[in-house]
Amino acid sequence: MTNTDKVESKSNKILAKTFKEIVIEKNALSIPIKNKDEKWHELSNKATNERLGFVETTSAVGRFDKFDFMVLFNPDKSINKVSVLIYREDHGGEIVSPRWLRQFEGKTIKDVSNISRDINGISGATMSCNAITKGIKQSLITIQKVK
Amino acid sequence: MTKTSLLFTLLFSLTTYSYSQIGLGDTMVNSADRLILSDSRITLGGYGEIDFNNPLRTSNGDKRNGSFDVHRMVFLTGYKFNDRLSFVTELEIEHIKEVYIEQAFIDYRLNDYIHFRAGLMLIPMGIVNEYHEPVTFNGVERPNLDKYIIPTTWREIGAGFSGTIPEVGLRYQAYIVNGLSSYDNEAALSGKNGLRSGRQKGAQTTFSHPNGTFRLEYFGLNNLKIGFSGYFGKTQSTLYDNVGEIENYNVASADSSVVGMSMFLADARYKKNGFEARAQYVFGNIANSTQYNNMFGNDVASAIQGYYVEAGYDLLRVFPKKFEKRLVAFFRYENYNTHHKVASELTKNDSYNRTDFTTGLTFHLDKGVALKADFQQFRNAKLGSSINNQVNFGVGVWF
Repeated sequence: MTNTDKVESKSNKILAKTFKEIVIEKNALSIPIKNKDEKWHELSNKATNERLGFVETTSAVGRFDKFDFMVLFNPDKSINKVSVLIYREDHGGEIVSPRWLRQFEGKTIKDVSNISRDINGISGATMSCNAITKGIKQSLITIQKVK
Repeated sequence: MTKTSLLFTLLFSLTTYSYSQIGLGDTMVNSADRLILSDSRITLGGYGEIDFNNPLRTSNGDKRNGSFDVHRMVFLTGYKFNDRLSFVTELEIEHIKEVYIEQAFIDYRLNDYIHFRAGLMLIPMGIVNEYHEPVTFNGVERPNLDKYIIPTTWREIGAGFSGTIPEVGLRYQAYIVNGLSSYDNEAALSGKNGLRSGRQKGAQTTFSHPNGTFRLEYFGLNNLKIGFSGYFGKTQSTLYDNVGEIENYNVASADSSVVGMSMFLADARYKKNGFEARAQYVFGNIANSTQYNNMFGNDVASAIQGYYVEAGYDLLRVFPKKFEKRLVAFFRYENYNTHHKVASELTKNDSYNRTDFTTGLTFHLDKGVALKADFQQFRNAKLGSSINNQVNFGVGVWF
């Protein structure tokens, strides 16, 4: 499996778990991106056509190596969930912790200017915390371009 | 030459790229430089400390000179061979003229939970030994506990495993390493400096006994990280070279030139909404100190111990405007004793029971740049000993 496949399959698993019985339809969004790993999809309920939200898979760089993560947005463009999909280096592995990532839930474009202050970092994982926070900040800005 | 020019090209493109982003708002300026390298096999980074230390007049009025120093410049290079295997090295230049390799190891990711590491690695004893980038700690100088009790920056050549289990909030490390040297054609350990002069720094080391070290960190509670480390083993001695079983005298004297170390450490770090605190306690038992001292006429303790507590608060939080910059006011209280316990034939030297008080400001201009200013007071428990005061100013960078 290539890296892109691994990222997609991990992100699909999380989506399936989040939306349980709903059959999800994923449609690629074409919006200007900042990072070549960035991929955006609109999610809808296949049965009812109702919009479920948006999902972005992208990457950021910790201390030595890049890691892949996904940001799931609600239809109102607030953050539903953040998950780290593949973390490669040993340093900063603490950010994979779902408990820590819960801090991003509910954040909207209004939080962008204060996000790096409001997210409490993890001692010893500073670079990875900063990197994912910056990445998510960019995600909140980018999603505004979605109609 | 090609490698050097490649590095320069990378550095250059990184600089120009960052510049081109200025003016587009702060969003991309910092992430851009790392993003540009994200698909490269090479990672570049580094940190540096430029300090000014000025001791104040002694109690009897003597003036003492201050000193400006490029204390440390460290250049980090990482190379990624494939998705699982990477190599990391840090080249350190201290005081402009001393060159060291601080880390040089391969990291092989076996799975999401286990990494295998081999090479020159940091010993996971103490917060600052592992995380000593100047923007990550308060104060121009590192805590003295992390100098006299833990011989920071303590690194050894060895191999072992490390990893993170995020589901339960646990990070672990366990390594078998070469250890500190107690005798390298002269006795290296002392009552005053403890184990510090025993560091071999990975340079043509002597190896006579394997040592083991481990660390467990729990980060399952929000904003709090607690750690527990251990280090065990006998020190290394050149006297074991060419010693035969028949020459009992030499074996005995070689045995007297090593000590047994068992060190335990506990630490905690807390960070929330502008408040930060950390504490560390370390205890080291030194076995065989009597034989060692008898042989060399030294005054090595049978146990060393120290602790510090530190708290800080980001003063910019009191304003209604939300600043990206941080201005942390902090204080730190340290006590460390390289004569915590001595064998019966020695008398404790109270001047080795030291207490430092440090208070000051750390102004974080950016995530990677800090301006520091602090005042330090050094006391020791010896009756009638003088109290020394010092002010420090420093620039710390990390990228």
